[in-house]
This record gives sequence, C-alpha cells and structure tokens, in this order.
Amino acid sequence: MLEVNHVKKSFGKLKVLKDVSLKVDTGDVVVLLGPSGSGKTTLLRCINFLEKADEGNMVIDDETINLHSAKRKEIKSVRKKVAFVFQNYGLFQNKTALQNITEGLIVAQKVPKEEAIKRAEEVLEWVGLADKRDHYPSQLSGGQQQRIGIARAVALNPDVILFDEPTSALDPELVGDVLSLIKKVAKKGITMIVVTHEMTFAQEVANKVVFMDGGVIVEQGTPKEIFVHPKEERTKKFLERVLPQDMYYI
Amino acid sequence: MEISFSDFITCLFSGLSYLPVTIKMAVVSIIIATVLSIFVAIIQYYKVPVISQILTIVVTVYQGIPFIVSILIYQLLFLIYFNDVAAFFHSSLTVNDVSSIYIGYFAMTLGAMTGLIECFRGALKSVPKIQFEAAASVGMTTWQGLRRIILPQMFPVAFPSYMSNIISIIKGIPLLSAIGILEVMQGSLIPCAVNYSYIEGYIAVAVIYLVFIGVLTIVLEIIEKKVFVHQQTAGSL
Repeated sequence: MLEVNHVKKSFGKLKVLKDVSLKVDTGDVVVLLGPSGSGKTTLLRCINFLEKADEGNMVIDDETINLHSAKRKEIKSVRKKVAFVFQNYGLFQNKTALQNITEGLIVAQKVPKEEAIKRAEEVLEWVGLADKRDHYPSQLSGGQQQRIGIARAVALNPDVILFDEPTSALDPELVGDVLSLIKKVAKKGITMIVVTHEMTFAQEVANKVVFMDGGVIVEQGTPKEIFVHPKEERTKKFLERVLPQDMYYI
Repeated sequence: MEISFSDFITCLFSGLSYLPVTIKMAVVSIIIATVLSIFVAIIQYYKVPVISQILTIVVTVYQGIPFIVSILIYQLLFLIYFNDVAAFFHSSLTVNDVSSIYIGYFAMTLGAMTGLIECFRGALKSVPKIQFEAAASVGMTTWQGLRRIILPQMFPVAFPSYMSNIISIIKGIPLLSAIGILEVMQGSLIPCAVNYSYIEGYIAVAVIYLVFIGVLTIVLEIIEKKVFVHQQTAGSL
C-alpha cells in the first residue's frame, strides 16, 4: 500500500540516502534499524515531505507521487494518510493536550468542532491521559507528551503512522509506557514504520525489519531472519554491538 | 528668571489637550506598522526570493537615516510632487487640501517598522523548527500553521522587545512638529510664547510623557503576565 522507490537525498555534499526503495503492506509494522547517520530518519521525513528528496517517488493507494516535485495538493493528500510522531514530541506549545489533538482535525481535515473534541477525548482516554486534557505541554512529563503526540497521530485516522525514534528523548523509566502504547497502536492494525533503537520492541512488534547503513538498505526480512540469521556482515556487526547477548541467540 | 508654577499648570493643560493627537498618531502608526512588520518578518524568515532581498536592503538603508531627516524628506517630496501626481490621476485635490498629519502617519509607520521587523524576525527564529514541522505533519498549510501555531508562540518572545520599541516610537512623535503637526510637545509650548519662558512648557511635556509612558508600561506588563502565562517555556524545546 505504501511504496517508496529510488529515494536519493543529499545535504550539501553528504549523501544521506543513496537510492532507497521500500515496500510496506497494509497492517505491516516495519522497524527501521541502523547506526546513527544511516539515513533512517531522513527516509521517514522524506515520506512525509518534511524533507524534500532530491529524487524518487512514492506510491500510496495506487497513486504515484514524485518526492522531489510534488504539488501542494499531493503533499496535503499524503499527509492526510500519513501521520508523524516526532522524536522530541513536537506538541504545539501554545495548545492544551486536547487542542493539540483537535487542531489538525478542525483546521486541516475540516471535522466539525464538537466531533473533533469528542474524538480527541476518546483518544485521550485510550492513551490513558484523559485527566490531562487541559494541560499544556510544558506541564507534562516527556512520556506524557509523547503519548499525546501518538494520540494526535492516531486521532487523525491515518493509514500509516511514521514513528521517528519515539522513545530516544525519554528518560529510561518512561520508555516502557510509550512502547506499550505503540504496541497498542500496532494491535489496532494501523500500518507503521518505526525508527527505533529498542531491539526488544522490534523483536516483539515488528513483522518486518529493515537494516540501513550508509544511506542504503543493507538487508530486510522478518525479525527472525534479521536478528537470528542475519546474512550481511554489516548487519551482524551492528547487531553484535546493540543486542544484549542473550537475545542474539534466541 | 524663576520657574512659574502657574505657567507650568497652564502649559500642562495646553499639552494635555493635544494628548488625543499624540495617542491617535501612536495607535494608528503602531497598528499598521505591527501588521506590516509581521508580514515582512515572515517574508524574510522564509527567504522569499527577490522580495526578501529587496526588503532587507530597504530596511538596512532606512535604518541609517535619522528619523527627522526622513520626515522632512517626505514632507518636501509631498510638497513638490503632490500637485503633479494629483493632476495625473485627474484629482482636483491640491497640496493645501491635504493635512500633513498623513505624512506624519506615513513617516511614523515606516520609522516604527524598521525596529519592529527585527523584533518579530528574531522572535520568529526563536520558535523551534519542530513546531513548523508538527503543524505541517497534521496537514496544516503554511499559513494555517503560522496563524495558529507559530505566531501565537512568537508573540511572547517578541513582547519585551516590542514593548521597548513602541515606547521609543511614542517618544519619537514630538519630532513630527518639524512638519507642523501639533501634538503634546508643541501644544505644551503654546502658552510659553506669551512671556518667552519655555522651561515650564518643556517640564510639562516631560511630565505628560512620563505619566503616559508609565501607565502604558504597567498596562503592557500586565498583558505580558496575564496573556502569555502558559507559553514561557515555548522556546525551550
């Protein structure tokens, strides 16, 4: 349902993505792994047009869109189908938790106000933060902020949610809450692409693991294929460094 | 020579009767300058090709010209060319029909803009980039994002510098006397012409301004505390 083809992106002389293609089916939970600087985040950002790719296209719902020269209307239609969860939460600082969720619904999707509020309240309940509805982001902990960020993405009712290292900015003791919420999102059947360094999470939740290094996809497969029988030398080296010993030999 | 208290009171009341003129000049030019400055700051922030460069040059040049010189230049240009321009547009207006207060508004607005553009541009830069991205990611257009997310976060940052800017704008209004606009300063000096003792007049101007600016500062500080209470950490992320 979502496909990106031949994505290339450079920042100045630095080639961050060198011809990356990726196919995601409906309901897939894809985990993107790789050392920092490998282009995982840039790939996600290109899919949501937060970064303009130099080359490449995406296919979503049988519609082909050029990632370099998409028209405003096309970008808008992609963003309607694809929501984004940021590493640093990206909550609107001037809006309450509830408003953070309703804002996109009312302004961008033209949902009537009462309905948007109702939907936001449901989602807040679902992420377990109904009591924080009138709190501003500055009054919430990192974990709570990220849960609101996820609630905001879910409320937009997207086909795909992109998670850009959703737990790396959190204090260790808050990571668990957010991860279990992401699992809950996965159970809903929403297609997800997750950039993460949480290997246990990747093993439990993903049905497809993609390993990137140096701007290319080195290897992809099921978690078992990647974690237990990695084929490529680079994948093995990376996993040796990041996996706890006991997990590597499952 | 002694300072006469009764003359001072006379000057004070004379000056106060022109306070509405000063307030009108201030309010009109500050409102127009604020709106225009926000637009210019946005254009410069997004580095809109050509327009943004032109604006930068104009602002830089304009900042180098003393305010009173620009006022006098506008006045003279107006006197020299107004009749020709009016004739060109088949208007029957002549220089004598148009009050120089409009030149005052014009000069004040442009003069105010130089400072305000910088004030808003700096504040706009202080809004974290992720706020722009988050607005885009939920599907807002650039303009919707600016209006609903970015500008509301920019104002609290801009406010302290905005406050000092508008105070200096108001203190610049007496310069308009150069083109014959009667405001608080000229108004306070009118009674002094009777016995050529100007000290009472100038003290009256100082007192009026002091109270006026003092009250304004207090009001603005209350606004700052009440309105922006939740956003003090906006710049921290």
